Amino acid sequence: MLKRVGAALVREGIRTAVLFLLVTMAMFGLLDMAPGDPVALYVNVQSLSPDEIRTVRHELGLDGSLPVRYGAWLGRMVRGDLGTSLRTGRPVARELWRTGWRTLLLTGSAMLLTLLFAAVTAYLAAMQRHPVWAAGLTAVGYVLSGLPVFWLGYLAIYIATTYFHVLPLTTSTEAAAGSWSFFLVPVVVLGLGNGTVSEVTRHLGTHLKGVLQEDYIRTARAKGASLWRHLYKDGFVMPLSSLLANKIPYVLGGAIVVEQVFNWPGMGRLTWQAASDRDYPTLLGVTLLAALIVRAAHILKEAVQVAVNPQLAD
Amino acid sequence: MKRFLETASEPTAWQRFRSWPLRRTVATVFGTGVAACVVAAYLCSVLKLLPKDPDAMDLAMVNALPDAAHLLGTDFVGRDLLSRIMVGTEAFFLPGLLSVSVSLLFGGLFGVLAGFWPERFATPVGLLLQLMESLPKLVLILLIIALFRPDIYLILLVVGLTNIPAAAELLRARIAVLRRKSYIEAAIALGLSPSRVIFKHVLWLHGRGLVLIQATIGMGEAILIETSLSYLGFGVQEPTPSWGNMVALGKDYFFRGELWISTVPAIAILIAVLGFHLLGDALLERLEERA
Amino acid sequence: MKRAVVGVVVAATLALSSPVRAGSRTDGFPDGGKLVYGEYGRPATLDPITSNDMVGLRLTELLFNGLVSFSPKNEVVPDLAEKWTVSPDNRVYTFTLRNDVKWHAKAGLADRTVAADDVVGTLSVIRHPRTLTPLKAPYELVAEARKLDPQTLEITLKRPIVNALGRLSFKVVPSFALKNPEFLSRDDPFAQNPVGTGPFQLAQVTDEGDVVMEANALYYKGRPHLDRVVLKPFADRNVLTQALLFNSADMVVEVNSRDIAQIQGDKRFNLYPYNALSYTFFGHNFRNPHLAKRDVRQAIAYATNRQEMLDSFYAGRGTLISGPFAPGSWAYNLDVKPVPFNLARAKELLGQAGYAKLGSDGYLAAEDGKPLQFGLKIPIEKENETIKRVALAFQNYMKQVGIKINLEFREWQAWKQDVFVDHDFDMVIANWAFDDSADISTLFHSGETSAWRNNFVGYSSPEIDALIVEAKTTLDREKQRTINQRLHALLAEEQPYTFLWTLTNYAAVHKKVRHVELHPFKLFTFADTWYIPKKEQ
Repeated sequence: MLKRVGAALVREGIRTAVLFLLVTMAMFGLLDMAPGDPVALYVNVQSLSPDEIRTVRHELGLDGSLPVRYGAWLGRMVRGDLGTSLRTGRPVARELWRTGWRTLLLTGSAMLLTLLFAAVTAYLAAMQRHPVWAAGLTAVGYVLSGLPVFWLGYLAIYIATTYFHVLPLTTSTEAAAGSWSFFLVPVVVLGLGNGTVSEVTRHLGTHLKGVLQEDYIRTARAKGASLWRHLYKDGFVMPLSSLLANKIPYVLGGAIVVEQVFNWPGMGRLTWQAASDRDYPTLLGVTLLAALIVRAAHILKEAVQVAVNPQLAD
Repeated sequence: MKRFLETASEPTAWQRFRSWPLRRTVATVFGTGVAACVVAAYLCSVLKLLPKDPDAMDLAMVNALPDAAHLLGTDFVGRDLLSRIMVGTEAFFLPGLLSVSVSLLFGGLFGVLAGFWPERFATPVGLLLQLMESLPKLVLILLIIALFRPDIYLILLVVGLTNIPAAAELLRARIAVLRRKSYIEAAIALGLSPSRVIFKHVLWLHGRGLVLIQATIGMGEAILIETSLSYLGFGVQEPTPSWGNMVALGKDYFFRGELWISTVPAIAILIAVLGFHLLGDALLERLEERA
Repeated sequence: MKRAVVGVVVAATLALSSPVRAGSRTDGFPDGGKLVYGEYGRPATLDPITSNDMVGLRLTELLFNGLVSFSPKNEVVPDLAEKWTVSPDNRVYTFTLRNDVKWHAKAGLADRTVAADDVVGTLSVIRHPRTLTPLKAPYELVAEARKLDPQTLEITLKRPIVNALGRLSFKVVPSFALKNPEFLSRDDPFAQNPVGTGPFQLAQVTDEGDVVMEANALYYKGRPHLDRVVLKPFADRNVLTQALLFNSADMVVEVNSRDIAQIQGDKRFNLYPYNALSYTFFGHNFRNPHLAKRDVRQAIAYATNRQEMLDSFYAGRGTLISGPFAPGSWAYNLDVKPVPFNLARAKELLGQAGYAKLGSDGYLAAEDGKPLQFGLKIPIEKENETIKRVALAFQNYMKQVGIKINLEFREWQAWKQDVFVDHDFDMVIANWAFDDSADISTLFHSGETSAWRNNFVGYSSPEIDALIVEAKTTLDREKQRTINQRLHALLAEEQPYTFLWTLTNYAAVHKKVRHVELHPFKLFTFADTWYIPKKEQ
């Protein structure tokens, strides 16, 4: 099995490298087409002469032809140097590292919650044993998928402050008791409000129903055996890993808003700030990292699916 | 004899509809109703058939709850919320259609290429599609916003591009299944040109369902993205109303207990997205059942 | 004898055990406690030279000192410089530094005193072409700075100006601690981990962006009472207010105008008003032939009910202004009253200018048959909902005299491009913030109309030009005041801007913090004297 998984990983790795080259080239092409002047980030441009502005531009490396700039940037990137933020002067790689894991934590936990909700709902619907519960949860799932996450976040804070008299912001300087439970609030908001709940439920439900019709399941049922052991591979692991890989982009997007409202110092807030300030090195770094995360999720999915169902390794 | 033939023929559309489970019927009816309302609101807005002037300020009546004069209340400068909700459809309607058209056009192209000639096209098309899929939409959009001007048409064009893989895959899978069906092979064997087969039998007969599905799901997504961007301040700007920037304006009053201004557009978003999702899901279910 | 020995031993022990000369303060107030203050937005850098945002500038008040500082009444007082002399031609300033100011206790810097070299070094870093700083322009007038002896230095100005001392209040940094002692760029670790001489020193920046500062026991005025000051940045103004109300923050630097009433009623907090030297205005583009007519501009002023806007949107917390200076400024001419609200007069003026014909949709007709309309370009700067209300109200007022206003909201960078470079606008709404010099030369002088210059409205008048030059070059403070007042009166007539108002800002501070005094716009200048009583720490 390991050999099969290994082969899949190698194949995906090569694809990823090719993809990354294409992605970075596309992004650089985009950069070149853009108007606007990042020089204004550093200094009151009003007080500089054109000569001084040219010096600043040279200082920032904004002159030079496109292929040259791209080559230099790619070379630096491969060595781990993503440049420094135009806004704070900090190395982009370090900023991404500092904020990236926080966003992953938030996004990962949120996705787990989404999947949990969807799995329970889909299971109940497919097994047809508690139709009222199934219908109710499905309906709730649909409503949640339509609610905008930015409104939901504010509502959550409002409920917390008005009815629980507590502000759900996690802080490190406070280290107040129970502040870790505050982390759950943005997770719940993002997990249930990211707009994919109904889709995930439906995919899972259809898949489960299909699997349930399979002969080997029917046999197990007839024999009175526990379904879970037979069901989990095809019924849950396979679709869940696909869904996880597919839905991550949406959840990452929702994280941008949630991080703002809850003051969560993650990549989402960094992205929004960088977009407003035209902080190109940071933006490029974020796009790459996000693409990396999505790609990693796909690779993970492939590995899991090959491990679970060896027939797929072709 | 005649009766025997009748019972042996394919069920009519109406009979098929009646055989649906209740859930799906409700979903379809609700979804279609919502879509109709959105279209109606859009048309009214374009034709300027609004209950009140969406830009008319009335500083004496700010943050009012619904009453006879203002069916949905007023916002923080006294503008009628109902009219603004209706005008808010303009923010996503055409851009959403643009997004859907782009994804259908190119998705259809790639789907047909990969579906009918997988030997030649599967790998390059697959690679291109994977490239598009690996970029998270909102991050890509913010990058584009930073590089160019925040223009909602450009943004939803990009969203349409990012939806191409999904559309292409749907079509490709369908075609792959259909190809194995004997009547396509028979048609080709009988001498019908492949392109005619494609257009008439595949795209026209089976593609319609896919178009509808892409349209509904794409529209739902367009609404969520446009409102999120307008909320963040990158999309439609004041005084043009967008459901997103209406929620953003209302959030300053949220913590003081005046939830209404933010909640009205949020519910509009909810109903619209819900409607489109339900409709799209019901159609997808039907499609998958028939497969 | 024995008691004397004991006394000597005790005294010696005490002397040896206190490692620093500047110890606790003698004002009798207790040490200890922590102050957490919330700001909207995060500082990009933490040093006083590359810092370009208000959050960063306020922070540097806590960490650094300058040659001179300011009293609560904004008078110049000695800071790092004990005394100074001025040459007869008012161009050469000689400063004698204190010899007891130590840099923050960081590794390798312990016990190092501030010297003339450091001040000279700071100035040359500011003026180095590779340092990117907004301070280049204000310090362009320094011709040379040189050290005379270890504690004395001499600064020569290119030309004499009034209130030079106030201008020379730049914060001093240890140029020897920079990655490159000649210039400072944002990627220098110093920018994120600065060392100064101020009452507080940087302890750490947490992963969440909180800037934690600890009391500097070596501070030359004595250790500040507060143990710690923490800056907590927020991404959302409403959540910031909630944080204050729910004890996640003890202080908010600028309270939302809408929340002021609620916080005023909350017994836990004190509200401190402060007036930044700034004002809001509508700028009119003189390149638009309609706006180039003075009657039109005056009509706009008469038709805009600025008092009503101030009352409805800012709860009256501010002052209407009549001219190009902030009302707190010494240059403001109190005899010139703001243009009163008078619709009839506005219509009369427009009729005088030749716009009497009304079109079918209620608007005045411009010469080419289309309605008289202007685009108002508004910058979107991170949530400013009240500006939107002002713009909408203004649109309404203009409609009543038959002028159509098209609101154009632009993203901040795009707005700056349109306004400062392309001059592609009819009207804008904007804010100027001033320092104490009340120098409006860059705003209205005809030579300042090119790209990125501050006279983006394109105003040109030989009379105003002459007065501006005179005000800038005279050394007589009284004469300068007279000239500025005349400028004020003339510009109030001319209305190159529709002068709106100066807002009163409020800082909210928890009552547990005592002896709070705020500098009018730098805020934290006197934070070393604040304290928290023992039982409330």
